[in-house]
Amino acid sequence: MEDLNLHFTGDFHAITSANNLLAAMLDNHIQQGNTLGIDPRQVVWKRCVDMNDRVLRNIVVGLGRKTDGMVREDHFVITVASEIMAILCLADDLADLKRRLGRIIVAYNFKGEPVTADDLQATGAMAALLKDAIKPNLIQTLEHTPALVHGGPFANIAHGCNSVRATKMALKLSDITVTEAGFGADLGAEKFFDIKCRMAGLKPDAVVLVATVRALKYNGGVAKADLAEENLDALAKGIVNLEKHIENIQKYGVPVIVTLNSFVTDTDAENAFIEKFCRERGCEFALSEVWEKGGEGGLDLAQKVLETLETKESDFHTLYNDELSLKDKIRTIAQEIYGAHDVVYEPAAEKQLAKIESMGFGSFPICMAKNQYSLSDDATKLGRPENFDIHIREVYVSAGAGFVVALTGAVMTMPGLPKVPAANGIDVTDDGKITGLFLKFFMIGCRL
Amino acid sequence: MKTDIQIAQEAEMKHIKEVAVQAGISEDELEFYGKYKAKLSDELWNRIKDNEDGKLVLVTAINPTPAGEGKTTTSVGLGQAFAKLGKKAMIALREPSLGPCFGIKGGAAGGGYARSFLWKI
Repeated sequence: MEDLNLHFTGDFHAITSANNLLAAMLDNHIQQGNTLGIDPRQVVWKRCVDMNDRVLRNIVVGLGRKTDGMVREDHFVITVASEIMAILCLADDLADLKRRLGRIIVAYNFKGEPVTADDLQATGAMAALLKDAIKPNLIQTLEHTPALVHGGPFANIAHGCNSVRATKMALKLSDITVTEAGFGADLGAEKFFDIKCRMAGLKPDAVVLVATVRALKYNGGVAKADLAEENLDALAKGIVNLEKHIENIQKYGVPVIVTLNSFVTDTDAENAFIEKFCRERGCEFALSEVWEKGGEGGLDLAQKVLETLETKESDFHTLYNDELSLKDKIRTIAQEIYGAHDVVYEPAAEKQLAKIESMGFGSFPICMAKNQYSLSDDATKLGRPENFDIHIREVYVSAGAGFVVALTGAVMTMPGLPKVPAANGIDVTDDGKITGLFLKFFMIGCRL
Repeated sequence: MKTDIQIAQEAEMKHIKEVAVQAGISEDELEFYGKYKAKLSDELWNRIKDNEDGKLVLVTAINPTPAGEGKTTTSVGLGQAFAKLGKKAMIALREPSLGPCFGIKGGAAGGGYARSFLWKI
């Protein structure tokens, strides 16, 4: 039962294998004469494993004798951070998967030109490893509602959404498909619209924006320890965060329904304040008690969503066009979604942008890697910050996935274990029952 | 209070083919991974690809506290609520990663909090 959190249907193992096949073929190519002229100092493809293992972040491979390979610095990422995960989630079908795999840039040659998975003739074998992984997984919720659980890319260096294939299947099979995207709406919804919907041709009909009284008070400057106490002043101060997200989603032409995921510590006065605030902005509002009551606790929300679907037409459009320059795309996201004054680039990022455009990837959408706690790139600026710049430190292209990643700071792509890891308390009984496993379904999107 | 894993292990499950049939998928269009998990075949896609699309609802959130605001809880609860209202609903979510399961310490979302959105697989 708990194997959703363990091996599940083996998709992640397949992705890990395909990723590492490509790495092995790359190093073998260098060893066997390197006819492509791969510069071992400019290998960008990393190995991966689905484990929190910090010692693998920066390693040296190829130590030993001449027959043991070319010595070079290498790196591991966790499997969900592999570009292959993003590719699997954006591919329409097996043919599209192969096209995307073939475009992956693994390294640059001594002339500075990209070397791809196609150049290494690795594409077919990788696709063979992934042929079942691309099929969506069907499971059931506690109330037997069907759920397609498929693919899980990072929400920072990738787009943080389940697979296009699963979403399209769900749309064909149901009246209503409910999906989600990692992090807050400034990252999750923006990437869902501007990357996933753009590439897959999806047209979202409504957005449910989840807030909690606690998070709004947190955005109003209340310390974590004091979030359980009623504080209407802090709520009034922090609700500007909700306001900005409502405005942002309306920019895409999609109707918004705000829902409060209720906690026992919330008060009626706090709930009423938020409801009034939403109504004044033309948004439906519903209290949700699904965490306590399951589907029963979501009936009010479901009714409001149905009403919205029936009465408000979605006029969905992406935030920016493919034709804009990469810099204009980044500026549009920073100003329109984050509320930034402008964008400031490190010199290295300027050079990288120019090179990516010269390589022909200027039409790609942007995948922003930013902290999830603030609309700005400073996690301590809560609420609705103003008069700030977004700082772009590094830019690179994920040519297979089909987006350009813009990093505002260091992104951890290989987590470590804490001092007392949960693994210390996990066991299996003699009759095969797992104990002590803390079920944490969507950690990667939400916590890292 | 029961822990998440106890609730998951005690939950009563339907064979996944029953869930599939209710969703308009025949047994032949499934590739079974045990009794409670199945992959959807390419044959299924070929049969349904010209169907009209249903409505698409995205669940997203404001900037979160470090504890998270419950997007997945809401997505699952909303899907279940639609089903209670007689709508044919389907939920599309991400697969969790294995590595972090061994890393985090319990507490943030345990017990009753998760009771409504436990998966049965």
